[in-house]
Amino acid sequence: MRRALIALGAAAAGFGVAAAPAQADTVVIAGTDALVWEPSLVDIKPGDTVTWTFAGTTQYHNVWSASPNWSVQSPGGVPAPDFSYTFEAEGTYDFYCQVHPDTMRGTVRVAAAPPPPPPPPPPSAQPFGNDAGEPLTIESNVKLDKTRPRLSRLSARRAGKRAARVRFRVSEQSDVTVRFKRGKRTIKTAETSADGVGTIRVRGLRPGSYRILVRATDLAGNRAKSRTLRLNLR
Amino acid sequence: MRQFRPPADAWSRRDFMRNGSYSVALLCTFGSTSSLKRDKVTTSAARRAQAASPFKPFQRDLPIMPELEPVSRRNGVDVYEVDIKEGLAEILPGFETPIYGYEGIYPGPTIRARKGRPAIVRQRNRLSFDTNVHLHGGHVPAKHDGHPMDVIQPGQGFDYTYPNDQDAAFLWYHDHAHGRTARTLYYGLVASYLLGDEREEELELPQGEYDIPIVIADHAFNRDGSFRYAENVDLGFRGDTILVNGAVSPRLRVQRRIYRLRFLNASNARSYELRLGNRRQMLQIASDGGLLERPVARTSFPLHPAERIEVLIDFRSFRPGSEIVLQNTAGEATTKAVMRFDVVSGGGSEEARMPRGRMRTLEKLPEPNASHRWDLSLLTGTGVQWQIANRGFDPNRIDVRPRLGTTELWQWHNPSERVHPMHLHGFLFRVLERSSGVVHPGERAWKDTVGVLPGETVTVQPWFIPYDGRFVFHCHSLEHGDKAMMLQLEVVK
Repeated sequence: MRRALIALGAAAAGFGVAAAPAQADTVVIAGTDALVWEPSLVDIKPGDTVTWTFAGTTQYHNVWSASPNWSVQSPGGVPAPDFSYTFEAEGTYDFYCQVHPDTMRGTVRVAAAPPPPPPPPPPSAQPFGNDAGEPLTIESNVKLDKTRPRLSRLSARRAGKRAARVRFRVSEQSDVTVRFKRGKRTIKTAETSADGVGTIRVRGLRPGSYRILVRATDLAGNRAKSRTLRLNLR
Repeated sequence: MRQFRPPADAWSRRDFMRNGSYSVALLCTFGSTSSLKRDKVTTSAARRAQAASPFKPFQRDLPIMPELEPVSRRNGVDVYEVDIKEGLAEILPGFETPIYGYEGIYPGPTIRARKGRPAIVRQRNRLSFDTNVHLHGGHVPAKHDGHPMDVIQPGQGFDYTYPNDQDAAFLWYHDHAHGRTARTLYYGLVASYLLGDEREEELELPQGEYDIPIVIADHAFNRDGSFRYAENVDLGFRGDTILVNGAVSPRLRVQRRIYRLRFLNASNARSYELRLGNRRQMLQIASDGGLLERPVARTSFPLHPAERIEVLIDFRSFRPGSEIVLQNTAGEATTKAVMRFDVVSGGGSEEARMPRGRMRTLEKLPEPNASHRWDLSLLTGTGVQWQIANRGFDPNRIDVRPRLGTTELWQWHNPSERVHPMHLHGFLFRVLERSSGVVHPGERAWKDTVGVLPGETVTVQPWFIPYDGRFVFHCHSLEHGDKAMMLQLEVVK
């Protein structure tokens, strides 16, 4: 930026003394890793020199002429060496960096009298920068579910021939398993998914006395305390 | 080749800001501000006025790209029709962004294909310049691969035939006309192609609304809401805003279920390092070429341009109300926030499973037939050109001729300062060695793109099956590939 001010100052000074004979000035244009020229437009008078500098840059840059009224291809590098050119004739001289041709474009205007200021670019050519760079909250309100579901209102009764129905209430979304046992043997197992009141119907049960184990596991894998029911099927 | 120009139409040329202020004035004439609050406000100016900043993250729900329906399913072949054309996308609230898109949308519609069922995608070029379509990661005959020189002229079409003979994988399709992919992909010619198979079903992975492709790309904007592009041949394009499925850092309301999230880095040249919350666990199940042999638990993973990584995230243990951010720890201030998961209740019980143990067995490769070292460098002097083995792209020169059915050792050697995501068309490879350290288990299955870091040498083993013919391999930092970091191979019988 400081360099830009110097350059602009130099340009202004140039015009201030335009009437005086043969005092040539040098204007500096800095190539930057922000991928713009600082400044991108300079106004000078015939006989002035422009020096392009690249001190401290870590990207490859160079200066190529972009209008047919001059021909320049400066050597590039990281950083590129300084490059100077003396403009003798009035005119508008465009230049660019061949590596960053969209953003690093610039113009040298050479005239004995100062030219009018350029019009502002249209909205389709003005940057709309992202201004939302606040610190990120990586997690908020994160709570792990470590609460066991609760089973209540359990009941079991006959539901048709060789069938039984187990009713229950579970406190949250869970997988509920019922296991019909006689002694140590498991006769039938059935599973359902439920939230609140639910039922499971089990068929193919022979008459006899059953112990029914009811279990519930919630989405997070927490298990309810298992409950036992008894049922006599005749 | 016809010259590229950024997408535009009559609407996009209007001065959005000026037009917007007219709309506000009109509203004020007819109603008070209270009616504005009560009613659903839909004018673009009002939406702009309501938004604190159009770039504020987590304001929009993650868009889900529509799935393309076949126009025919006869004879076991699915036929799709796609128009490649201009469109308008609402990316920043209240602004319309001109894009190029498959079916005029960004990202383009998702194709869900099935192993064993060939697909024909009938692409019609409704643009004013040449384009073509490359199925990235696909085993396809050379003629249908989207070679940079095989282009579809404006007004013409081409029927891309995809045999779908390979295992399930997250493929994607995009433009590949030579010299302008940096611009055409940036302006929207990007879409997902999800190839599924029986093995995935056996594993009972999440399906339907719980299986989501996530397309990440960095962008920048102009004052009128249009995309802003600036060529940077050295570093590649860098935007100041992260778009996920075409929305600025969105949020996804997730139920207490298992989600299969398929990440694609569709950025021009930006690499990401994605981390879930405070290092929460993600289970990686797949990479570019499909399932890994075994799932790999990760809290963070790198994603270079064109790479894909699929993870399962189990949200069942979180209580509703939990908010967890997926962040890009490699990003700058405004490119850190990728998306946020907001846990909500509902969803019922889970049918899908978190896989344990072996998911697939990778084929044993034939012994390598030859080895090649490819130096990746920037030629400077009178001009600037990225090169592979001191050569730039020449469509009239074949740089390597592997035999069909063989494997070779390819060494990517990167003395440059930039990451080079090296991509091989038409074939898959395995990553054998990284000079910077061990090859991560998440990178040991089939790949089609590998990020070669500055100063690194990466050895890969491509297997040249199943098709012979002329293909390319190149750097998928698009500005590098365009200028002219690309060589040709011809696989011979």
